[in-house]
Amino acid sequence: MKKGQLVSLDFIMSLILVVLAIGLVMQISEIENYNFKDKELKDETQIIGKTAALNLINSSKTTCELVDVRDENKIISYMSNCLPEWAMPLADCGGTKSACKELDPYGTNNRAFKPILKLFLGLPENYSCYIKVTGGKASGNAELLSDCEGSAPALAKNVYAIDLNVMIHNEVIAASGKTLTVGKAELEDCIENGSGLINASCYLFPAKIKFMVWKND
Amino acid sequence: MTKGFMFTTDAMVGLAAVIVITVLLTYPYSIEEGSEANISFIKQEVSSKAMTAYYQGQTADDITGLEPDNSDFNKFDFAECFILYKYDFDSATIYDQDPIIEQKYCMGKMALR
Repeated sequence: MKKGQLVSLDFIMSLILVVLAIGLVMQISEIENYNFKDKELKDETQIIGKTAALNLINSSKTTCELVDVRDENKIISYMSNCLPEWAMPLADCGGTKSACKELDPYGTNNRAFKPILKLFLGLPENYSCYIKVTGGKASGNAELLSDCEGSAPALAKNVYAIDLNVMIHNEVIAASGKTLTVGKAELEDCIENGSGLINASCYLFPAKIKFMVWKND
Repeated sequence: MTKGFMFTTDAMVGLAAVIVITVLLTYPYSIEEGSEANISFIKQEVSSKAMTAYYQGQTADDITGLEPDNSDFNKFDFAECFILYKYDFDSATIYDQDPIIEQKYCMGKMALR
């Protein structure tokens, strides 16, 4: 290097390296920031989805009621992993599905079935769900009345999905369409002699539920 | 080192060593993060399968993917048992035996590799 010369080859190379290093650090921090936000959304969907799935199969607002043999209004316990089928005729239920959901969701008026509302699953307004039942009847698929979407998400980015094993109770008591109560004697019969698939006096049928939760964009 | 020459072999080797050590130190963390999700899933799956089996009077032997005990757990990366306790009235009153019957439903899974 000559006297008075400011720019040497080493200086230029180190300048290039510093610029590259700063660029690299900025790029990495941008990627990290994006990943953090993406992970945050993913984690949130996972937690909300998992909680909703647990509520679906364990909440007293959605599950079958094990009742006393002598008095069917006396609830002994709520049966986790047992869901009552929606078997009430639409005509007795307000004429439409949405009216049926609002008929008696909290069971204050001796309800016949339990609608699965997003509120009961703990899902916030900006989240959607999808429930698909396979099995749950002697033949065909049982029907559950819910305010979830009618189809699986096509465009949602983060989706929580789980397959749940449940029993669907579909004994209709008289013409009321009431399916939510399981008598103690009936449950004992199912445990002793098997589900409705092989035991005509048991009205609990095994089913698989595909349950999905996602955040609306 | 020649005067004016910036990059030495020592510097290159040092840089390579730093990269290798960083990768080695962060690798177990990335595996740990994935296994938490797997354990949570297996817990939910085994309890849901066990409850539906119980309602139908089935034991773990009757259900595909379930085991009646945890003797094979060392074969798996993740494993979990769900235990139900049945009260047998006849055992206590007629046979004078312990009326609490333990029913175990266990499940093990390999990690995705």
